[in-house]
Amino acid sequence: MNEADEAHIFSMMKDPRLRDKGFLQLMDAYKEPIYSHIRRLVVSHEDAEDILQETFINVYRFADSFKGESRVFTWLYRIATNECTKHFRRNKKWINNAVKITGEMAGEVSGNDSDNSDLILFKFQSAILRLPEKQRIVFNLRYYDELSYEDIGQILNSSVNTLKTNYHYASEKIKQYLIEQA
Amino acid sequence: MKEETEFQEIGKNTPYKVPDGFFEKISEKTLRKAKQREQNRRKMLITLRTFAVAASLSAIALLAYFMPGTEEPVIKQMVQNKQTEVKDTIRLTEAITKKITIAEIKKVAPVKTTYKETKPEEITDVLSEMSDDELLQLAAMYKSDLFIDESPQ
Repeated sequence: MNEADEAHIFSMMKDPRLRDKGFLQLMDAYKEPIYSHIRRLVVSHEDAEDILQETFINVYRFADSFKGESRVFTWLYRIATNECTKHFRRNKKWINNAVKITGEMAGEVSGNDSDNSDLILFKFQSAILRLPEKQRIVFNLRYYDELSYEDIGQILNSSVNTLKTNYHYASEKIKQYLIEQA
Repeated sequence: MKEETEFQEIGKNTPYKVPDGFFEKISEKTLRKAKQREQNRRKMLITLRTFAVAASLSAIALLAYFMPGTEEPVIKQMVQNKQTEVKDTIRLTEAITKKITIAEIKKVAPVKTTYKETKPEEITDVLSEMSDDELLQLAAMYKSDLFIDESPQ
């Protein structure tokens, strides 16, 4: 979606008669990438669904306050990431649950005739889950969503240099974990 | 090693699966939830406003009661003004619960409250529009408020 489309959708959302239509268009455009971002962070589908809904409910409520100073997708990623961090604070044991889910899924895969690549994916996710929170978020946004450091900076309110350092440490830790698990 | 070439053998896929049909239903489901949340928030605001007005009415009445040398007509006027505000808020709450538009709400609830002597007929009209629950609540409020003058005006 380009900036003109985003502006059009937001003008619809600010008109009470077209608000719902604009909302549905915005959600249809961004639900998949935002869901994937949330899912990679919280792992459980049920939690990801709740957080996705919470993210877009906030968008519905605060659409008027969006001034267009940043791109819509960075605003959406910011809200979604904040909702995920709230989830981490509320559920102190979420990480145990996430590691358990990933382990169970890996167990199912290794029991099947699946090729080795699926197992590698689970090991990779396990390595990411062991990262500190900030490094995990930066790594996901950079590696999977392929966002620029400038965009990630807007989402996380951090400087580019800090983010590059976070990414570097994250990737080193992941490599180390994969070597240990090989 | 450059970022672009890192973890090439792993790729960008994740092992997590999404239930079938999830993305088809989620937008409508979220919109319904967002609208419901908005409606509840609006009702809550109205309720809070009603309580705030009732609380300020009680506070003024208490203040007037304990204030030495206050002349009675001034107290009466202040209480009557607050009564008018409470009635306006109750009308506004009714209007919202009937799901009428913002423009109609503005018509029902004047932005500035005019403080005028209320005729007994108007109160009867308002009371006749109220439900049994609201009448009971109002009666309880009147009974518990020591400072509302019940003598004929």
